[in-house]
Amino acid sequence: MKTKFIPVFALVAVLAACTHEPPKSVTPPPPPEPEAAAAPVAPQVQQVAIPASTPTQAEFVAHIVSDHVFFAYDSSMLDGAAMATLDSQIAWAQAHPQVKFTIEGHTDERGTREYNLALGQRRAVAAQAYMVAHGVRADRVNTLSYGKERPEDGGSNEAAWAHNRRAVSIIVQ
Amino acid sequence: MNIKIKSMLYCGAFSLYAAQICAQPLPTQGAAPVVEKPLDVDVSGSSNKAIVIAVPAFAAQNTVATKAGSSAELGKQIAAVIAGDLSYSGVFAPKGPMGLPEVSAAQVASPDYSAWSAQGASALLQGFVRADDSGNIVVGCYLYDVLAGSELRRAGFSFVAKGWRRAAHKCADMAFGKMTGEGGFFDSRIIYVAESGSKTHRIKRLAIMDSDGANHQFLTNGQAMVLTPHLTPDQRSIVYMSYQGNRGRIFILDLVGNTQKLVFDTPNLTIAPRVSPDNQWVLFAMSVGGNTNLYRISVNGGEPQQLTKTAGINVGGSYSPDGSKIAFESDRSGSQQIYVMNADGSALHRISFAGGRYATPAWSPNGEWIAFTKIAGSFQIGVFNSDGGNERILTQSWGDEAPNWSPNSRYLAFFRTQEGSGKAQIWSIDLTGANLRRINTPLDGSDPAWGPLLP
Repeated sequence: MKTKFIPVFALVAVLAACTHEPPKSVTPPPPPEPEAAAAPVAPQVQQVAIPASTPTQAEFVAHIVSDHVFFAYDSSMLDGAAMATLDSQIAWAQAHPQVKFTIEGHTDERGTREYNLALGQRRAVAAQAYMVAHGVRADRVNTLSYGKERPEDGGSNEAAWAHNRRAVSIIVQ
Repeated sequence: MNIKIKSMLYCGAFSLYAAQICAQPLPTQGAAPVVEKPLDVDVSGSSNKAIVIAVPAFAAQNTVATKAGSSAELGKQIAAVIAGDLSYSGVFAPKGPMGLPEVSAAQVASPDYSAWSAQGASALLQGFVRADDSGNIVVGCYLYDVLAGSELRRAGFSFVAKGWRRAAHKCADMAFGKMTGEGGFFDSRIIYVAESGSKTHRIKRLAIMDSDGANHQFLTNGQAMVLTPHLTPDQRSIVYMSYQGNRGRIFILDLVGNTQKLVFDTPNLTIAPRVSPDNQWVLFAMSVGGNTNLYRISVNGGEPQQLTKTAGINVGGSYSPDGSKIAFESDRSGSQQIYVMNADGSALHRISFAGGRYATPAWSPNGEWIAFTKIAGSFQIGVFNSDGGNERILTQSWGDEAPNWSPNSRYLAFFRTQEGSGKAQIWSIDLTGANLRRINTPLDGSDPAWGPLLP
């Protein structure tokens, strides 16, 4: 609210005009205190913890050996290289306890469709079980098999097949 | 099981996704009784023993414009579909309808045998088309033994205009059945997975078509990958696996209401659905802790019953036609092999023992054979008896897979994947290993499942 500030002299003049007596010397009342302008009070802000944004797959990959582990033909056994890769994933997962994963299991193209769906699942579960056994909470890791349906390498040769026999750990966004 | 269409008034009450068709009695003109003399038919599949059969355009008993074209035009198209079916079977070498003399309505029941014999035909299939004002069409087809100069069989069918292809298939089934003594199979549908896109980003859609590839329809839009569909025995629904929702689950699609339902709600991977012959059970495989076993669940829901209990992979069940047994594949011996058990999981025993791996068993509708994919270097389609005996390999290539029976247990549909490109197409072959043919589809295709004869 705006305060009307009446200059002293004007006030005196008004007073003088109102009576016929000689002006007395009056101590002019102190100017009215201007109403305190509403000081802008900052709204209360409290600091609270918010969840960090989920790391991207790229960030994950940058800090681990690989998000892929590979398997021998018709096998779901983890070899030394696979275990070392998973160890790096586990270490990262433990440093990022809020992150959840889906492990996708895949096969190469040289098998029948339904058997390969089951084999892909066995591979995904092998990786999942290894992670859980090494301290990653089970409810953080899901599995999904794609069998032979999603090759990463479209070749029909040993190198392509070896690359497609894989389990990939994907961060759930 | 042979399904024969009897020449008496019979209406298929079931008409979803296929035009309703009713068998009609044909007038038996003339006093002479029909003498049915079986032909000496060699069904060994060799093409130079194929029966030369003339299939002239069907005569129009009246000229009426129908929703399917003029009755005269229909007569030509029906004959063309019949000729295509008979040619596909490998049993016949059809002549016509192009290039054959016109047959009048009056001649349909009284053929000029010597004229047809002069054409080189030993058999004749001809008929009439009659349309009525309400848009119904009646087709009569007559099968003759030209050399013996006698009628073998006649059958009639009435339908609304859009069902004309089914009438043609029924006529072809009549002729095929009479000549071979086996059941028909042309009036049926094949469900399969239509494929497009690159090898690393394949798009898969459910699709259905007539057995000759006509009336093709896509049933899903490709956004979610779909696999391994099967028609239910009552043909009202399709069971299949889908990745919608980023999970591997099995669904049942009601073809009438176009509604989809989850078969079993579980976080576990569920695959390979089939429906029992009595339409009461969904048989499927579920992965728990990395082990995949067979289960069955009532079509009405509830808890599934576990049928196999091993650490390993058990998948791909197939019911015997009477529903009492299930053939399936299991790696419990160390490699994929075929086993048979009772439908409740008891009396489980292995039936494949020759070298190689055996997968994808499919029990024939007549109960005599189990077809399989055999992996022994190449991928082979083969059959053996339900005890594993009398094994025969029918075809092989880099990627032949997943045989599926025609309704008369005589033909197998399967898919063949090309090395390198990974492109898959649907093929069929007959039980003798002859008549290997591609079934044309608008895109590539895999996972064919041949439905029963339509009623």
